[in-house]
Amino acid sequence: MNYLQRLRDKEGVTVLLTTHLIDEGDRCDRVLILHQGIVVALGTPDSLKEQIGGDVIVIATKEPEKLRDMIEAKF
Amino acid sequence: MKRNFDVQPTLLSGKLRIERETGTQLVSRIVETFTSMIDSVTLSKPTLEDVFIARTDTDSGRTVSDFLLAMTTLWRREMVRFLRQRSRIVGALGTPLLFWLLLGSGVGSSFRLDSSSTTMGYMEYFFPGTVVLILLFTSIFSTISIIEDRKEGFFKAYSLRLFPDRPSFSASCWAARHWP
Repeated sequence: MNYLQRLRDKEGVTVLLTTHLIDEGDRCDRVLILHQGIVVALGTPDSLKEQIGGDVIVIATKEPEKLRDMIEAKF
Repeated sequence: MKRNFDVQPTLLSGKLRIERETGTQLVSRIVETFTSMIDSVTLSKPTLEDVFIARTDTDSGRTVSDFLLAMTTLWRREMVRFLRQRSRIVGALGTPLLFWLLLGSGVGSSFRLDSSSTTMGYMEYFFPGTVVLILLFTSIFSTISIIEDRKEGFFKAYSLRLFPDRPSFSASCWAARHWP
């Protein structure tokens, strides 16, 4: 990956990369997400994130199902 | 595609995810209300992973046909790999056949079955053993291919990424066991 980055920065080589690792995709200029043969997203990582917008809350708990139901009931 | 900002926690690999226009208030309210149940809470801007989840709906139920597709794909991959490696074909089929021909023709003349009623020769007698040898060799080589997958990281990739509930693993084992 570092080597590819160097190729891109110094030699100006266009790199077409397929990966299932999200953080590799994050380092790319443009990202295209294929889902079941269909393009579902295309753009720079930042613009894709902006399209999604909002905040993401992730809660770690020992009883996720129970907590989910309780949160749903409460809010 | 706009996201819906109702408080609707989704379960994703053992953690609860909530998407919100602004999350700060909700976080403090959730933490206040359910302190005892929560191990940790993170509030963040969406990452590329979130984009991926939102766009592909990754965790929404895997069906039986997904499982079969995974099985057949991995099985085909295993077959292609086998057929493209001449050394494997020779190793799997050639060695036992050579054994069969050499031993069969060499020992054959000094071999006689006890019962006089059958005219079975040594080659015939030895043949089932040869078939078993072929099965044995191929299964050993298939095991090696799983180890190779592991080395390349492909095994982890397909067993964890694509199919969290691990049908891929059984598919590979199944392919290993059922060829030829």
